Amino acid sequence: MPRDLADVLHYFLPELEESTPSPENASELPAPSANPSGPPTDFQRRRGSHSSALPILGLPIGTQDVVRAALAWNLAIETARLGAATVLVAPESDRGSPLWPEPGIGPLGCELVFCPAKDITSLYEAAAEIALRRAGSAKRGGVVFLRIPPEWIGRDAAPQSLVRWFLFLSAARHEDLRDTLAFARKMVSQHPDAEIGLSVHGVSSIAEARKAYESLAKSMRHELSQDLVSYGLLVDDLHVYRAIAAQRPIGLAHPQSPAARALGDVARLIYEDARSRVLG
Amino acid sequence: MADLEWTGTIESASLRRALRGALRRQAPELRLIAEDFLAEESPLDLLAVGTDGELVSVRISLNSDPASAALLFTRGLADLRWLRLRHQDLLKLAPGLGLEVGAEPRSIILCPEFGQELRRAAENLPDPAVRLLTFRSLRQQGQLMLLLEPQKPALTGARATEETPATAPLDSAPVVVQPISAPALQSASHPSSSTFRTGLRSEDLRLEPLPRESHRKA
Repeated sequence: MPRDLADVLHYFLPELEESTPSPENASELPAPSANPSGPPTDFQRRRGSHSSALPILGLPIGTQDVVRAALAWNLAIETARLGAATVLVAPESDRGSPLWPEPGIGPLGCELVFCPAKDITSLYEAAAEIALRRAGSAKRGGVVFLRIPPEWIGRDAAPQSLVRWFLFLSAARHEDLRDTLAFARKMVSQHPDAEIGLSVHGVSSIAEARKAYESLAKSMRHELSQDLVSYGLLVDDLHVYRAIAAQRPIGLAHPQSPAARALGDVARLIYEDARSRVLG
Repeated sequence: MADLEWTGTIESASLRRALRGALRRQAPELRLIAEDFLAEESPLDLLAVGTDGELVSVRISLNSDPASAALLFTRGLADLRWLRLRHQDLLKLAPGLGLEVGAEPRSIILCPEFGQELRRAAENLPDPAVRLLTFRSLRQQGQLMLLLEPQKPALTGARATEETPATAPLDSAPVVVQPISAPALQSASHPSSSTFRTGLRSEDLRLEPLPRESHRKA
């Protein structure tokens, strides 16, 4: 059956909208996507309702892992600096914890949202709904960063299609890489179609990060037949810890610091990969 | 290491996943933007943006019989026109895709084997409008993996020679597949399929002296 642009136009409608999310509606969960021009086409039916949503990047971060949470929050902000619409979604149980600042729209429009999820399914569904809603105002694309409690992975079956892109943050020490590999086994078992990336943090040189990445990539390839996508390296310098204590973005407080440069570089990689998912 | 030829059925989703992995390894400059994307009448397996900001359709078939290969080839040709007509629209509607004005679309067609007639037909097309790639389906740790094979001379503009092995392993000859660039050649020659990425230089990580609190006036 011949098609024309109208059949794919719905993909790009968000690009035409100029509005930005307001604090008033920031925490509302979205309604299912609608086709204002009439019933969905065959094309739309086949593509499903998640094709125009922002990509979701799942980050396994422990409940007391303040450093990784701070890196994730700063990555979201740096991605926003590049022009992306970014939302950081975390379970409601995180509210009031030292992991995050106050919810709502923060620096550079980066938004922190707590969702009332109690398991992996409801967490993914909440993130997917937010991703769908935010796509409507994301003129230049965006990313939903999702804090996943690691203990939820493997506990219950997770919906396969909602979240398939994950980023591991691992230090370069042998024991950290070993733990990350062990977690990758669980992740791949639960998400056979997952695309898994790694940012090596806590390193003092590029060579150290490269070596750590290549070691883990080789192990994952050999043991899990799973490619590991590199997302560069992050630096844990004094600025990071100061920023954590002050709950201030590193890129704004210390824009010339190595930590800020590294965050900007990783954010660029994330944003580029997110853009490559714009059509689903 | 891949150990066995894949036997048995392959679901289209698994095939596309393996194809994504193969392209990521061997053609990292292709930015995949969609999967199972409906074109004129049938879905593209993958839709990508190339280095020159051009749209690239990627179609794959597990059947190597002449009729299946010819159908895939026809669809690849049709994709060129379909994508060309939509290029301007996509430029306006999705400026974030990285498309460039005037960039001509391309098609990449993958089949386990192409017949001589079809390869001769492809020679008549302007370079690099349509690329024919052969592949092998391998089992690696129980997972499907695609091994893209070197391009045959007939497809690179040179005259085909009968001496060219039709199924030479990827590491037995330089990979000269056209949308695959120099970095891809490098990665294809290494056992590891993953590549460390960073835009940082060593000097970017040089620590600067922090302002000393004691020097500040109250």
